[in-house]
Amino acid sequence: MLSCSLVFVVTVASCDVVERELPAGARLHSLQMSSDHTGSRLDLYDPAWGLHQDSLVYAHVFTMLPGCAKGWGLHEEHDDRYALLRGTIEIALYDPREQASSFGLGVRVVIEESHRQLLIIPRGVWHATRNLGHNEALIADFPTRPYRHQNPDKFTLPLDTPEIPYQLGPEWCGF
Amino acid sequence: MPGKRNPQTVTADGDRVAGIPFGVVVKPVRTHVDARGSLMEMYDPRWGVHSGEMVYAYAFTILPGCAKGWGLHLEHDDRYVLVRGRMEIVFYDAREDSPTHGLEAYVTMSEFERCLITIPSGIWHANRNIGETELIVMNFPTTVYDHASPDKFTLPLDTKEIPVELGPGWVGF
Repeated sequence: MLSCSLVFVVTVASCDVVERELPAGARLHSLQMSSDHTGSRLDLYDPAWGLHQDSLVYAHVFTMLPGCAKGWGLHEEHDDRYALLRGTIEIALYDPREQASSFGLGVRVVIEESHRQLLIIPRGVWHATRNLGHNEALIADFPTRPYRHQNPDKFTLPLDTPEIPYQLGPEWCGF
Repeated sequence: MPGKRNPQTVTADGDRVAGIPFGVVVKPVRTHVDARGSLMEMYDPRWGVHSGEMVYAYAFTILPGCAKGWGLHLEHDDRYVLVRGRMEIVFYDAREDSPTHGLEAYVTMSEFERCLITIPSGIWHANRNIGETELIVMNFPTTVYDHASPDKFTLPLDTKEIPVELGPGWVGF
């Protein structure tokens, strides 16, 4: 019971945060699911939504085991566009862009299956993701560039790095 | 009586012997697993699997024991990647000008051997869940969905208009 109510509190708080403050350029968009007796359909990305000027070009899906976190990560040349398919995740964002209006902002956003959302993470923003749920979480990502295997546009720091002044708790553990 | 000897179904390399409708491409995709979870590339234009751009994405699920179809598109191709579960697709090539006109074919998608499958316009297809859990498939159709006038034509699974006899496991609407 305790863990359930904790998750609920965090989710509500993240919705408040979402409306008011996210790093400049980050967007959260609610996804619509339709269901019938054979299954469901969830639209994940439609240029008509006007969320991002860049078209789709590449897609991957990643999973996270319960209790695991991945991060911190940052991209210099591309934006991420995350869509949650299954599970409950928390995403931490920290904005180190000195020229950004949201410079220094650290926020956490919870996305869960009952309210699936697309999250746009602009380039230059540190991000880490944690599985809050009891099942393997599934997240589709539509980065604005194809993955460059020989020289990835990906920079990482450990989850407990002192270089990012937005501290994550001990529940954020990776390997 | 020894019964009937089975015909060849796969080559020694594991490739299927049965035909597949012209233009359908099955591209294996890898899943990278580590202690935290996994990652699978779903679509990369550099694979050269399809010339059409990526413009739109959706996911669909099918509940265990259910089928969806028949469906056909005239203006766009489908590009499926299975993320969870196990699905059987049946094709019927209704294109008069196709070298495989009239061909009926079955393909299975599963987590054992994930793949990207492209389905050209003009091919009837139906999908059924042959696994134990709700399956999830991502689709990257070659055009955006026109909600007011979908490029989707359907026939019942037991239609007489498609000369494919589906087994009793194919039940949907």
